[in-house]
Amino acid sequence: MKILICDDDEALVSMVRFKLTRDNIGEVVKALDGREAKTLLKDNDFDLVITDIHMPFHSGLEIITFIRHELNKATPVIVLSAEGLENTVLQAFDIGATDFITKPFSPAELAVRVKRILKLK
Amino acid sequence: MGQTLIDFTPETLFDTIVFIAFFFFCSGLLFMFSLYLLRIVKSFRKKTEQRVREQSQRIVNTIIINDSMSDRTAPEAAFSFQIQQLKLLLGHSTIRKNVFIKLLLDIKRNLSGSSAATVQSIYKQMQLEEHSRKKLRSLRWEVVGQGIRELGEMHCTTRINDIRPFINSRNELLRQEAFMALVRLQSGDEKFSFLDAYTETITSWMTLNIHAFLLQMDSRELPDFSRWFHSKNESVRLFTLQMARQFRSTKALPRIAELVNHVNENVAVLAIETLGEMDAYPYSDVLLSLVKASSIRKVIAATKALGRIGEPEITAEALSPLCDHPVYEVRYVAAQSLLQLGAAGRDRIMEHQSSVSGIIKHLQEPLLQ
Repeated sequence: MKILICDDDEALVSMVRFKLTRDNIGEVVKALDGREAKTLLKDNDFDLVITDIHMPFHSGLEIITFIRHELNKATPVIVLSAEGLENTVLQAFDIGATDFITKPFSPAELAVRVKRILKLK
Repeated sequence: MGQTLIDFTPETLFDTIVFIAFFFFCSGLLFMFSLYLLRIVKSFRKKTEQRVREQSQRIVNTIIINDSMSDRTAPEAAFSFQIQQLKLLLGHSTIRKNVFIKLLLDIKRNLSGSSAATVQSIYKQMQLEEHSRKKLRSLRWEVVGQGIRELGEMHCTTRINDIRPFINSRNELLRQEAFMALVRLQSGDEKFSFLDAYTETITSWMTLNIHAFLLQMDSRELPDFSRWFHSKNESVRLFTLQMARQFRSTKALPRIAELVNHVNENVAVLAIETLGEMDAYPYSDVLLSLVKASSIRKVIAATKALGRIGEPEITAEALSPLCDHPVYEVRYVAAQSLLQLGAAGRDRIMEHQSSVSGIIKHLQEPLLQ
């Protein structure tokens, strides 16, 4: 499995990457801004994308739109954001997010959700 | 004629110019060399910080992830070993300790539950509490602020007395940090007790930040803000009223209603607005008595609130005379509120068509809806 994590918070990316790798979920690739995420998405096929909403260059919501409308892919997307406002959550689901996790979060919970989405044991 | 001190012959003039040129050349060289040296030091520090951050993050990740595993595969000994590794990495360097604490704060901001508790535990096991406490003695306010934040975020309850003096600091940001730290560290009824002795101003910026911080708290931990409605400090009265309104503290409504006639107009107006915002229907009678008040601000606030919570027939009758009020703003809110009241309000507006026709046209403009 190949997972892309997009977040400008390096400490968080490192933590999530460590957790998912340790749980043998798959290879985790990081992108520290929206532009890097778009480039990686164009050049690679990912089984799952985990993205923050507020990032430099392109927001997480733009990333979802890019996956759904420009790449025409059904890759599952988990939004991981500190902004848990009802409108934001609804907007994320509306444009095609698969799941929404509000920060602060538990890495163990994230791993369970990732496994469920990827249908892993 | 007496001789001048310096004899400006062409030779001495040339020597002076050469000397000045040489002096400036050397100063320039020295300046450029110090800039270069400063750059090297900065770049070295940056690289060291990056290295410490990366190395310590790996160990911290291992501790947190191991600790959150349900089967707890790593024994206690492994935790102690990793702490020892971190201690070796940081040594006695203040810079390294600061980088590490910043990393812990960054990680903790994103984590909840047992993972967040593990971060606190790492901080305490690394004996960084004393390092943060020393920052409180710094002459630089930003360092003091950092120290307060670190002790608060890492839940160092034994440091409450060290933080408490900053609650009445003259520096607004230090007051704000101390406020949030004390709310984090104190428990039960004591959580907001420092407001009893708060003498400084709570600025709008502080209110915004504190509100954002309180939003993340368990609402059951919020106090009965009405306890400070009669505080000696006007700033505390206004702040607690705003918090009661933001967190819709219905328990405080009877005491908010008592404040509508407060001698301080700022408090009274905020109380009136709060009743409207909180949809306090049982208190619409209290507001009705205020539409004839002498204070224009009170009249405007009460009229606006009544448009939202007033009983249509009675309120429309009470607001109707305000359509002929000499102050434009009063006529404007009266028309607005009458429109909000529905049919009863519209009938009253028709009676004052000449005074408020322009306002009604403006309020009914489709582009402004």
